[in-house]
Amino acid sequence: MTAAEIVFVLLGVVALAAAVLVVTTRQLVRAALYLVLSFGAIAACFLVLTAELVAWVQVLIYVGAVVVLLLFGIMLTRAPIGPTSDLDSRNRPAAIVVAVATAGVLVTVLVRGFGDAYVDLGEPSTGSASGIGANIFRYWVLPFEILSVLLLAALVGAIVLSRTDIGPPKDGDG
Amino acid sequence: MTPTYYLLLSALLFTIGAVGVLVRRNAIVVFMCVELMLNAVNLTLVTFARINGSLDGQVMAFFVMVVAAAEVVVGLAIIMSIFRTRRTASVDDANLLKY
Amino acid sequence: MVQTVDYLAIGPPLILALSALAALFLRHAAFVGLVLAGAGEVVLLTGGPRRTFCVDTSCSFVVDDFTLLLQTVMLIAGLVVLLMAQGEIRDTRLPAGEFHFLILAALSGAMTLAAGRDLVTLVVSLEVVSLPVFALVALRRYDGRSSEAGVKMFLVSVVSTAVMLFGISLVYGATGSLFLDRIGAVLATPSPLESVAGVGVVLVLAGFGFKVSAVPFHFWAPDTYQGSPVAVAGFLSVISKAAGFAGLVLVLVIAFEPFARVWGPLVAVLAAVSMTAGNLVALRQRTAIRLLAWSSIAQAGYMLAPLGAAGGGAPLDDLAAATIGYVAIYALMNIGVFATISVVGWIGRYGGGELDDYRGLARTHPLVAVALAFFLACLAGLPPGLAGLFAKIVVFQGTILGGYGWLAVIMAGNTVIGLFYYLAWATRLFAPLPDGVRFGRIARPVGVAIGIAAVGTAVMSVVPQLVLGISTGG
Repeated sequence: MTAAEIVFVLLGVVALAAAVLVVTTRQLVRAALYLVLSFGAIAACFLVLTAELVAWVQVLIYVGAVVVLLLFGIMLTRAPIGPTSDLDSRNRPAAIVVAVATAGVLVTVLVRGFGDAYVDLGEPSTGSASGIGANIFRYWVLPFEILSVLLLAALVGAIVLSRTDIGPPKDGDG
Repeated sequence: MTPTYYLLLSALLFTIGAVGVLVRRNAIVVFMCVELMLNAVNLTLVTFARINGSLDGQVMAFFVMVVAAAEVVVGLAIIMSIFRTRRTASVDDANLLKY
Repeated sequence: MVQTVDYLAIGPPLILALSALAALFLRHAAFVGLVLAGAGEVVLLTGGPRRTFCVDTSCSFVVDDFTLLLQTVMLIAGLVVLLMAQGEIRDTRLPAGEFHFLILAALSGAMTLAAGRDLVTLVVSLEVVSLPVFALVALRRYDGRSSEAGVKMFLVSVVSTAVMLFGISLVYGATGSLFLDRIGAVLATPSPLESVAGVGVVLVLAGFGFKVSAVPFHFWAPDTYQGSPVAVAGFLSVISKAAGFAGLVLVLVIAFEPFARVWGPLVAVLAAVSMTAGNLVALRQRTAIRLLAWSSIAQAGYMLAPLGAAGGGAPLDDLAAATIGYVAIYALMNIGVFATISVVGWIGRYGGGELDDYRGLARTHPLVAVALAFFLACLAGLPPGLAGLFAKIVVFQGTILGGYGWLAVIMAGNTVIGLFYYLAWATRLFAPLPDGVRFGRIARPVGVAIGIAAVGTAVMSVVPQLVLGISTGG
C-alpha cells in the first residue's frame, strides 16, 4: 500500500462515517456539522486525485456556502436544538432493501468494470485553475453561458418567494 | 494507485444519501442527503476524469456544484415559505393535498 | 482554438433569455421577445441544419428539424401560458415582471435543451427548465397548498437530478466522453465496461422518468398541478414535459442507441404502467386540474410507447419520430385545455374548479365550450379532434412496427378508458345551465390564448404531416 492509498483509506472512512451519522443522527444541527466533515473529507480526496481546483471549490461552495445556508435554514425554521424523536419516517424496511440493492449493484458493476484500472498519481497535475479554465472556455462555453441564466433565475426566484405582497383575489369571483 | 477505492467510496456515499432521502422526514435533512448524493457524483466524475486522462469530468463536477448551489437557494426559499404558512419543515406533515 | 458561435442558430433561446431580463422592468418585453424568437424560428426554418459550439466533429448545439419542431411548439405554448396568466397576475397581485422573467428563463432553457447534443448542456438546461418552475409553483404564498406543492416538486426533482447525474457519471466513466454522438460510437463497440454503462443508462432513464412524470415517478404531479397557478400547471404539463421528452429522445436515440435492448423493455413497462394507472385514477377525479394531471401522466405513457418498442429492432428514427410527433400535437391541444380551464377558474376556487362547474358553459360561452370540447376530443383521439387521432395512429404504428403487440393492446384499452372521462367532461359543457349559475366575462388575453391553441390544434388536424415523421437525424 502506498502512502496515497493509506491517506485515501483514512479519508474514505471519515467521509463514510460522517455520511452515516448525517443519516442517523437525531439532532438536526449535528447532521449539518457531520455534513461539513463528510464534504471536507471528500475535498481532501479530490486533492489526492490531484484535482486541486475542484477541491478548493468544493470547500468554498459546499462547506462555505451550502452548509451555512442549511444551518440558517435550520435556525430560521426554529428546528429544535437537541434530539428530535420524529425525524425518521416509517419506511425504514423499504429503505434498507433499496440500500442493499443499490449498493450491491453499484459495487459489483464498478469492481467488475474497473477492478484492474490503474492511475499514476506521479503524472503532472492537470486539475489546476489554468487547465480547467482553458478547458471550460475552449469546449464548454455553452453550458457555462446557460449557467448564468440559471443563477439569475435562482436569484430572482428566491426574491419572489420572499415577497409578502402577493394576496388572494380581492373578492369572491376574482 | 487503483481508482477502484474511489469508485466504491462514491457508490457507498450515493447509497447512504439515497437511504437518507427515503428515511428522513425533515425537508432540510432530506436536502442534506441529496447533497451527499451529488458529492458522490462529483467524486465519480473526478475519478473517471483521472482514469480517462481528460478534464471533462472535472468540468462537469464544477457544473454540478453550481447547479447544487442554485438549488439550495431556491429550495431554502420554498422551505422558508412553507414554514411561514405551516410552522413546520417536516415532509410528512405537509399533507393538505390528498388523492 | 476558440469555438465559433453561430448567433443565428442560438438566436431564439438567446433572445428569450435577454427579453426575460428586460421583462423584469418592461411590461410588454416578454411578448416582444416571444415574437422576435418566433421570427428567428421562421428564419431558421427556411435554412438548412446549423451546428455550433463544435469540438472537432461533435457539436454541443445543433438546430435541425427535430430542434425546430420542438422549439416552435414550445414557443407557441409559452405564448399561451403567458397570455392565460395575465388574469391571475392581475387578480392576485403576482409580481408580473418576475413571473414573466421566470417563465421566459425556463422557456429558454427548454429551447436550449431541444438543441443540446452533449450531456453537460442537457443537464444544465434541464435544470434551467426546472429551477424557475419551483419558484413559480410556490408563488401563491397565501395558499398553504402552494408552498407544499413547491416543496414536494422541489425535493422530487432534485433527487431525480442526483440520480440522473450519477447515471451520467457512470456513462462518462464507461465511454470517456460527454458528447452524445461520441458516446453512441463508443457504446457500439463491445467492451468490458458494458455493465457500467448499462447501469448508467438505467439511472439516466429513471431521472428522466421523474421529469416526464411517468409512473412510478409521477406522485409529485397531481399535487403540484393543483397547488400551483393554472398557467404554471400548464407550463409543467406541456413545456416541462416536452423538454423532458426532448432530452429523453436525444439521449436514448443518439447516445444509448446500441443499448436499445436494455432500455427498450424498461421504457415499454413504464409506458404500459403510466397509461393504465394514469387513466384509471383520472376516471375517479372530480376536479378539472387533477383530472388533467392524471391524464397527462397517461399521455406520457402513450408518448413513451413507441420508444418502448425499440427493443424489437425497428428503425429507431421512426420510433423517435412517432414520439416527437405525439409530443408536439399533445403540447398544442393540452395547453388549449389549460387555457380554457383558467377561464372557468373564477366561479369556484382557483385552479379550474370542479368538473360539475362546467355544466351549461355552452349556453353562455359557446365559443369557449366548443374549443374545450374540441381539445378534449383531440386528447381522446376522436373525430373531430383529428390531430389527436393522427398522433395516436402514429404511436400505434410505431409500437406494432417494433413487434410489441401486447403494448398496443394495452394502449387500445386505455384509449377507451380515456374516451370515457374526456367525453364525460365534454358532455357536461352542453348540459342545461343550472339555476343561479353565472359565468363571468372572459378577459381578452385569455381569449387570445384559447384562440392560438385552437388554431394550432386545428392546423395539426388538417396537415399533421407538418409534425409527424420528424426525427433527430443525429
